[in-house]
Amino acid sequence: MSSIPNSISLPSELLELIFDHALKILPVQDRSFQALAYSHVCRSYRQVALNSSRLWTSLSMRGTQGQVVKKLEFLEVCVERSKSSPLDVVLGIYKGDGRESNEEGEEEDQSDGASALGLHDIWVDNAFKWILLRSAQWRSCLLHFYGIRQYDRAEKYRPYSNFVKLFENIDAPLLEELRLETDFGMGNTSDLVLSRNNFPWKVPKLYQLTNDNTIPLIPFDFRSQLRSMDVNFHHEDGCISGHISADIRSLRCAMIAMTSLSTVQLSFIGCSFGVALGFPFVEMPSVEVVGITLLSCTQRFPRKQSLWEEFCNVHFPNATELNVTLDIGGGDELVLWNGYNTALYSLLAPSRAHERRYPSLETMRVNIHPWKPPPSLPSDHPIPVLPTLLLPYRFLSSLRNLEIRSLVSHWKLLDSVGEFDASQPPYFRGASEVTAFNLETAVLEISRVESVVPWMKQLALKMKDTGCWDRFSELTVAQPGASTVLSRDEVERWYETI
Amino acid sequence: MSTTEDKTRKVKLVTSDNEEFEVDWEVATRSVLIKHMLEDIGESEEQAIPLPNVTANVLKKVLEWCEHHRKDPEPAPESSDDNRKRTLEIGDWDAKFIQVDQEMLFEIILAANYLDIKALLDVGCKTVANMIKGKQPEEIRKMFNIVNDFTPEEEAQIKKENEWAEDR
Repeated sequence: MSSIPNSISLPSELLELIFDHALKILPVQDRSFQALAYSHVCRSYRQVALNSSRLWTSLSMRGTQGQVVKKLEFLEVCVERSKSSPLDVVLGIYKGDGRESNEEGEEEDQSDGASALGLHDIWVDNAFKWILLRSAQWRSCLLHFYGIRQYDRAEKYRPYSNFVKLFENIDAPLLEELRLETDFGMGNTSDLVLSRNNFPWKVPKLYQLTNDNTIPLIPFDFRSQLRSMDVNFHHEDGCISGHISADIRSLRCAMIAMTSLSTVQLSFIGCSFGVALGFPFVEMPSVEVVGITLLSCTQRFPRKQSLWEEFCNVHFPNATELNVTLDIGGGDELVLWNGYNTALYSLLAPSRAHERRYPSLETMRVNIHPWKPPPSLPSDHPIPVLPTLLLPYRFLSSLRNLEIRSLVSHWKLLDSVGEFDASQPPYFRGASEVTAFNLETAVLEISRVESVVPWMKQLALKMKDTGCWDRFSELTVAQPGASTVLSRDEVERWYETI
Repeated sequence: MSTTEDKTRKVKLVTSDNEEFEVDWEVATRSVLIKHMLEDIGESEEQAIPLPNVTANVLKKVLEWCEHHRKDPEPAPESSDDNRKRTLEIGDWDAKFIQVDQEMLFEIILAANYLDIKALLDVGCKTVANMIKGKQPEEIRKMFNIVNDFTPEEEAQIKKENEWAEDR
């Protein structure tokens, strides 16, 4: 070994591994630009970077400052340096503002009347066709619908209608992942592009679809082959989407044909829920893992159980894993009843069709974040004194592993609010009924154990009453700076001494 | 497959600066290299394993990691999916463990690579990756005290390449 090791004394395969780690966490748009930066540090970094084909697989169109740059020369260099490796590509589609009717006429006009198609004010950049022509090498594709063209960049935009046939006849035999991403304010542009001719790409290996703020018009031909789907509705700027219920219904319609889907992640941030649209009800027997994120969400109409109603319309009979991320400490009637946070309750409580929403559930992870008020909520909105999350024991009867992680220090977990009466939401009915438990392990990653001790103690007593306590094996309590694993016998002493 | 006898067995390791460490078999065999060497020498327990590429202060640190992770399951072979969804997250204990000066950090990486301890190598490489993510060449040079050794011709080429990333 050299006397004082540093980064340039590492073997090239280790430096390559470090570069690869550092690139993989960046957005696909920035990866090749970062690889370029590593190749400009010194001769040994450059040698490693230029010889590592996997660093150059992203055909990106964004500069280091987040601005769009289209340098075909750079794209060509990336393809050359990637040495025939499968590519991760970004395709940009832009909405015009109607100021210009046409900028470029040199491309072959393949459209059959752009105006008639409603495509007359949709534009693409000068890398669009170049990337389309390399579809045989695509491993992943991000289709980004930008809000508006940037007139201050001297870009050469071309009418999307010139490339419609090329775009719609994509043959990408290696494509595994497709991401649809839409900037706010794109209107129906993604709808026009994706729904025309039902987006007939030939993508036999596609298994993962991510849908970011894009109307979930998932092409019919893809649906049955998808194994994993992420759908994200993020409105962190506080803009109220009046269409979230319509979007969820579109998603449910698409899900009917997703017969191979095993993982579903649904994320709602800053969304406003309307009145749930009942049809269609969807049964998803192939799904094993479900993830739901619900942060800073509200509902548009009072006295509606929008969250419960919305999620009642989909059933996962064979899901064994449920991961829920929610916030406590505020909100409106979507997640609050008499000051109690009912988000988890709403997702798990019996629906009209099913007494058990997740009858095969074995593992549930609950991640608790502090509530961040959306700008749309009045500043005088009441805030509960002690945020209290409801998690009835009844919902844990099939569960083997429970994990609760909280970033909120001052909060409380509660089983129920007592006997059911007519003033309570209908889904509270029967919350105290318990038959048997299968719980084997619990992990509590919290800053103050007082938040959960009474709840845990009651659970242990109920498990004893029903003869199930022998099944329980260990409780892990992780607090900042310390982690303790308690056996079944130790759990009793633990909750008695706190 | 380890036996109960293996788990009670002690292993002697000798570093490049001739320091001897006696550790539990379960701790030593976090290293695939040591595991294979032990398999090669068989039952001759008294025979020390020479580690000519590791100094005592580095081995001490590596064994601290192996001791903490002695019960961890064998790492699964990395699938292509893992490769794509990689994050730079490392566990709390590992993050605290790897808070060392740069010289020791690179020593640990080299030792983990030599001893074939994949999980420790991962911790070290991710730590360095975290340090250079999103950084520009000059920032990286400054961070690791790297000299810009490009020739004028190479500098000219780099200047040309920089235009690819300019926002204009």
